[in-house]
This record gives sequence, C-alpha cells and structure tokens, in this order.
Amino acid sequence: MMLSEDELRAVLRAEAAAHQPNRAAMLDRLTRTAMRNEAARRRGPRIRIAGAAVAVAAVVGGGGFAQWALAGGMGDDRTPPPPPPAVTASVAPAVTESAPPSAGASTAPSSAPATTSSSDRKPSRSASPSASATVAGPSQGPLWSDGSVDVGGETQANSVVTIKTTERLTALEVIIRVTKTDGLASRGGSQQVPGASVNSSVTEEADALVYHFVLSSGDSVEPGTYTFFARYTYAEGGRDATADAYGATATSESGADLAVTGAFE
Amino acid sequence: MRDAAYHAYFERHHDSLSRLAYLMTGDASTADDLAADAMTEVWRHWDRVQAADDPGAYGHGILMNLARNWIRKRSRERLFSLEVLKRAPESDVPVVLDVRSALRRLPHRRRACVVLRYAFDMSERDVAITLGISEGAVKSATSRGAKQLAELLGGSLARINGWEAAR
Repeated sequence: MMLSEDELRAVLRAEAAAHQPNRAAMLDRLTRTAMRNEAARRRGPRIRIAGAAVAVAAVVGGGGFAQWALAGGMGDDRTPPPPPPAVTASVAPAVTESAPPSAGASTAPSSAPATTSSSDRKPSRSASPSASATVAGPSQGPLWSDGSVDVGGETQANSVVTIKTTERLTALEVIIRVTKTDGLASRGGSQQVPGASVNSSVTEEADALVYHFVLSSGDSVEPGTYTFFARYTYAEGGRDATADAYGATATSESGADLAVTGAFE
Repeated sequence: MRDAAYHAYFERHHDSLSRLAYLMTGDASTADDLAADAMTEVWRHWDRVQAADDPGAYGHGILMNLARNWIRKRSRERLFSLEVLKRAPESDVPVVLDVRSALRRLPHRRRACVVLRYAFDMSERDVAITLGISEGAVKSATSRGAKQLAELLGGSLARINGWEAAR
C-alpha cells in the first residue's frame, strides 16, 4: 500500500511541526561563532567594535546576542567581500561543516562558518547525491560483507572481514575496529586481495585497535571475494568480540559510492 | 537599516530554517545548530541576501548546503567510528520505517525536493532557486522522491495514522 500525495504532504508537515526549534540555542551558537571570529580578528590588524550592532542586541534580545554585538561580530561590513555563497550556482557556498557529529555530545562547535575563506570552497557537486545516504548494513548494491572471528589458540585470534563484490571496484577501504579487552595486542593486519595493492596499518585509539586497509589509488578490484584479517593476541580466558565492528567503503566502476558495516557476532 | 532588517529576517526565518534542517538531518539539536550557522552566513552575506529575488529562499539554500555537508561528514564519521553498529540492529531492511528514517533513505536531492515542495509548500521554481538546480531537475527529483518515500512509508501507514491521531 502506498501513500497518496496528500497523505505524504500531511505526514511531512506533521513531522516538521513536531520539531520545536530552540531560539535561545540558536542565538547562543551565533554568539559563540561571532566571538570566536572576533578573537581571530583581534590577532590581525583590524580591531573594531561595531557601535550600530549594539542596537540590534537590544532589538533581538537575549544576552548571548548582546555579547555578540558587543564583541564586534556585527562589524563585518568593513571586511573584504566574502566569496559568494553559490546558492544559485552549482557549487556549495564557502561554509564549513560545522556541527558536532553526535547530537548533544558536545556543545562546542568544531568550526565557525565565518572563519572560512575562498580557499575553503569545495566543488562539492561532483559527488553523487547518493553520497549523503546514511550508513548501510552488511550489504549494499553489488557489495556484500561478513565479519567472523577465527580463533587460533587460547590467546590469539583473527577478526576476519569478507567482502564480496559483483562489480569492479575502483576504490576500497576497510576498517576493522577491535575493542580493547584484557591484554589485547596487535599482531598486524593482512589481506587477501589478489591482483591489487592494498596498504594496511594498525593504529591504537583510546578504546580500540583500528586496522585500516586501503586499496592503492589507481588500482581496482575485480568482482570476487576478498578477505581482510585483523590479528591480535589477548589474555587467557577468551575474548568478547561483541563490541567489535567493521566498515567498508567502496566506489563501483559505475561510480556509485557504497558503504557496508557489520559486527563479529 | 541593516541591523533592524537582519533582526526581522532572523525572527521571520529561524523557525523554518530549523524545521527544514530537522527534516533533512533527522536530528533536533543539529537542526538548531545548522539554522544558527545559516543565520551567521546570512549576516556575512547580507548585501547579497538583500539583493536576492527571494531573501528567504537564499537563506534556505545556505541551510541546505550546510545540511548536506553535515550529513556527508557524519556518514563518514559514523562509518569509521562504527559506533552506529553498537546500537543498530543487524536487519538489512526494517519492516516499519518512521518518517525520519524513511527520509534518511532518500538521496539528498530527492529528500531536499520532497521536503521543500511538500513540507514547505514551495513552488517548483522556488525550490529550483533554493537548491541552485533547474526546474526540470526539481520536478523529476520530487516525483521520484515522493514515490520512494510513499513506498517506504506505505507499509507503516496504519502506524502513522495512529501516530497522527495521537498528536
């Protein structure tokens, strides 16, 4: 059963109405951005407080906004003209990715839109719209994957990721994340990708060993089955792999961006 | 006067910018962040915003670009931090999709067109201006997006009706 256009309209409007915008939070963020910009500006030759801006603070209200005004965030008129935000052109405007990745994890924005310059512009339209798709499950399109643990004794094992592709891949990247458990130590990564060059590395993060495999640029992978191994040792008594995970991104010959993820359960 | 005009612009559009960001990202707190960042950009490019045929559409276009960047960045980060897996069920195709999950499955342009046309009631021409694409592209992305979304939600229509009734 499919929704009619009217039903779709109603559902989308209801969803939009369900969201309660937080005006104060927005003003807060505006303020922080402006103050950061002002701090950056002070390091340069241009020091100026915008008097007229103070009036806006009073109008818009809210302490945050007032601080922004006082800090000179509204004094931008004198700065050199910024690069055009290409809203009507086929290029994204000069804005940086500015939100923290996980909602509510951090209130500090990672970067300020207003600190960008023309050098930050990205010709981003070249990527396909599907690049914005959210992370998929263990299979997507021509790509299929599976994770398993190959126990090689009382204190060592390999976490194995199998990737099958029915299409030629022009890019492939696999990451295996092995969560730190008692006595976990890397014995390196290895892979079976005949006919292609793959670089592997292992890095240690706070809570995991991360095994990283990247197909050399210019190389491609023919349709087939390939395996990637994360080797490690651990303390006696076994190891719980439920928190481990893997992910792979690939570009198919037809240009589709693919992503698969999975676990080792 | 610039300040008063900007203030009016903020009051008039901050709500809808946030709601648009919410539908595009499915994340309430991110929505406010993106709306605020779009407002910052509007201030920085105020002369151009003012000169635009439709200053409101201009701001919404900025928001759409910010949302797209955010989604891309998050997709990458989620993939490589793999945190999503700790919570995500293994099932490949969920039986029931809520509106936000269904929207997330649409490619960016389709999602953008469907949201702007249906939830924001914009004309095809306004959507074209906002997204910087042709009206023909809007037409086709909207119809494909609407069809895909209707199919995704079709299976859970009963639930949605109940959900609407509960509101």
